[in-house]
Amino acid sequence: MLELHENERVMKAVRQHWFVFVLEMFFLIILALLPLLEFILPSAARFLGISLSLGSPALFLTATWFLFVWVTFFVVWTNYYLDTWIVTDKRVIDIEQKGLFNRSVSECSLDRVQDVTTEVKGFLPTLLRYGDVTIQTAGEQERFVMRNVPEPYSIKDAIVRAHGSLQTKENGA
Amino acid sequence: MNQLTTGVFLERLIAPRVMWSAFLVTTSLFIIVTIILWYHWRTYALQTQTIRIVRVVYAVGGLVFVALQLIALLSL
Repeated sequence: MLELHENERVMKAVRQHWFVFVLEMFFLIILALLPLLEFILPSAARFLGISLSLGSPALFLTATWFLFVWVTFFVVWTNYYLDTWIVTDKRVIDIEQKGLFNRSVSECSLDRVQDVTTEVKGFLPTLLRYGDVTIQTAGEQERFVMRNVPEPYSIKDAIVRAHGSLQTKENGA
Repeated sequence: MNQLTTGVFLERLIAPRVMWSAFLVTTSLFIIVTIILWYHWRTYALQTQTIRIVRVVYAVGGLVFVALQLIALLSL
């Protein structure tokens, strides 16, 4: 669980664009449609003069297949959902969920930020307004990359603004 | 005679005992994955409202498919 510092405020919590999730799901959607063959095949067989009817074993296999697809969908969704970047007024936290048993959390303090770059590359990213935000830092992990995030320009602005107000606070203190 | 039912074909291919074993294996796997997902959602999720809805949808869907498996097995 993420714990915030004293007086720390979350400005943005972002995850990858929904289209990236849909792309990941594409193969699974195709797999989910496979049992429809059971309904198409009897009609095709009837056309050829062969009688085919669905029995209990076919229902069992279909239910098992859908259970597998259902569980896989939620595992992929969980990976997508828990893969988050959190921008607070003091730091940027990168929570990377690479599977159910592989999770890494790294953070960089905003006062170490040297440069923030936004990159929107390609037809679909331009159309759907998603792209990468790269944060160059002076820390151990030099580059923080937020991949395929929606509205990358507003995220960049939020980081730059937070960085600026943090510096103003530090200079004023 | 050109008569073949997929039901009969599958019944010959898959014996009821094998199907019951498959049911036990898939249900056990479903329970294990559910526990792991539940743990992740409870521990790491930031927006509890979304997770609450997702949990219900997941559980209802999963139970429907398990119930369908059972119905199919009981009508063998």
